[in-house]
Amino acid sequence: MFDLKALQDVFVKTFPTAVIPDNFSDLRLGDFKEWDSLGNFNLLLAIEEMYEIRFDIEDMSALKSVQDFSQRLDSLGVVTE
Amino acid sequence: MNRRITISGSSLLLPNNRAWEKIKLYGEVSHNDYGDWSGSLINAAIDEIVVQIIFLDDFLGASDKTHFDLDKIFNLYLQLLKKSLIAKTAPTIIAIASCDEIDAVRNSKETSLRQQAQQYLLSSLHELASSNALLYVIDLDRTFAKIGYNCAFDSRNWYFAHCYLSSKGLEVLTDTIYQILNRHFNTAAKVLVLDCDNTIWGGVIGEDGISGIQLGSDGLGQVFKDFQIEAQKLARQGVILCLASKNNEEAVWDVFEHHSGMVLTKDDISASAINWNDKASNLEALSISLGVGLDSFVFWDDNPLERDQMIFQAPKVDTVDVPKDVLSWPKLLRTLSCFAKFQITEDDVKKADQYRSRASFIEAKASTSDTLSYLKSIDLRASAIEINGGTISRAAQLCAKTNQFNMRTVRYSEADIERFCLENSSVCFLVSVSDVYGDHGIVGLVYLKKLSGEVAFLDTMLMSCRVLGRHLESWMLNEIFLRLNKLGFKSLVGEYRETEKNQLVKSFFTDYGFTQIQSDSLNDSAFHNLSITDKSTFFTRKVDEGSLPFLEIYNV
Repeated sequence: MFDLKALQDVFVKTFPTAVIPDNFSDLRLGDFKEWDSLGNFNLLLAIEEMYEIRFDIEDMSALKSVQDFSQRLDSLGVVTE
Repeated sequence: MNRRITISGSSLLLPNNRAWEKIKLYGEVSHNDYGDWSGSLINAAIDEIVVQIIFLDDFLGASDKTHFDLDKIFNLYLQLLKKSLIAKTAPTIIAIASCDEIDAVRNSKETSLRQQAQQYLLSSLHELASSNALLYVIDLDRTFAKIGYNCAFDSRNWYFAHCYLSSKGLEVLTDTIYQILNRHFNTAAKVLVLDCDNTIWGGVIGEDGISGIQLGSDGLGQVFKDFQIEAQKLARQGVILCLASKNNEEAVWDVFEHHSGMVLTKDDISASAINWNDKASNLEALSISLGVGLDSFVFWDDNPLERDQMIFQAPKVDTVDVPKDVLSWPKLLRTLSCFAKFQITEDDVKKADQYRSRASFIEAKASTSDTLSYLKSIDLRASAIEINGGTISRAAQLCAKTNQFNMRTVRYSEADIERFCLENSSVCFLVSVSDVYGDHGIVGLVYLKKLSGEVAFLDTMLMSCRVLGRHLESWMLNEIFLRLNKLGFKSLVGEYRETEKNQLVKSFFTDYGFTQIQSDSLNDSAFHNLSITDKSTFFTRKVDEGSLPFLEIYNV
């Protein structure tokens, strides 16, 4: 199973100055100021680097929430525990 | 820090990406809207750092033309760039990439059009950069070659968001910009300290003996020899080479003198500490005898224990994280960014000799009881050197690097100094000195400006630490008074602005007959141009107020 805590770390590193709301697993693009479409792009690149995976171009526009990310990471077979 | 850095480019450069974090060390980073790269040339403030990333496709279009009129394509851009550099006080960095993928078949007969365009633009930019100290050029093709073209670019990112680069490509790009800004604002390291056993040769001299160590033309011996070649190159470019080795000193010098594979000679080594003491204390001793702070030292040792100990005991020293794989050493040494300089001056080339003579000067001086008659005996000669195209880079270098003998520690750029030389009411000159230990080259800088009709201000007076102890300051002050007298000035005002490193000159003004000015007299109209900090103390002295101490040791 894929660990949300690690994904949360990627958020903290990508948005170092942001105040990230507590309900992490429900968050989606736009829920805090820094997570805009450019922020989402940076986030996707950081997730790729962290898990050594590659999103395809459809993923780039489809993945917009923590839920999207964890489902996709699951389907890519990312295991962090 | 309120410095601003404006990044612009013709494609999306991922603002707010973590890769840009390191650049924030040098100012507040803002990204122009992508595509607006000419705007950053036109609108940037003169003290704003401008970084432009140009992909040639944006000039040439992606179409496959068979001919480009390069003059026409780049002329407008180059004109705009030239104009933007006028009066600039902060660096401008231009990085260009050709976006050219090699076609092995076609390129086997001719260079591609994009390659021609890249070469044209690069050489135009480098020509500009050679005469403009604040312009830096990055050839991204070669920079990206390190990781591979396919790794640096990402067509998914391009089609998704008009971003040419991959994360890795962006990382390499920002690293390169960082290196340039770092060297612009901080000086290069000065001293390389090498271990001996398993570092400049393979094996342990104390155990393997001179015939048993690996050094020469075969196998690993060749690698150690190449490593020495790189070290020697650094020494010839002005890096001070030292040894720190736990060994019997005789055994080490025996290898230097008698092993046919040795490249380094005793002359390449400016100072050494070959004994059984811990290396951190040895480096401290070397720092004192060379007169160079530990923060300018780089330490290379194959032994991770020695490295860890150095990091722990002397954190100021830059301890190289030496990889286990010896084969990578020669290249790593060649490309160590801590020694990288924008240009190598003639003075750099002489430096090893100068530091060696400094060490012998200090030894001889210590062994003489009557310092003054000793100094008289070493044939000290100083002269003033005008600032011109050939010497201005040395003037700027002295300004950037001198910490100890420096009254105000104001860092001026080449452009600033060029401006001072053109002001007709100011006096600006360099000082060189020689003695029986050698020609020390250009070691001092003076810049005087007018405060009022009769009062001059000593804006800059500094001297390289390697000639300390020769009372050169006395000669410099005499030269200053001679020149001021000729120009009709009656008195000189000086400022001591205290820093962490310039305690050495704290009493300079009182030692040389200046009197401290009380703060209320600074209200006089003559002084109203002075900028006063809480670290400032001001002094004054009449131009013709009698002779200066120690002047007799110079053949004036």
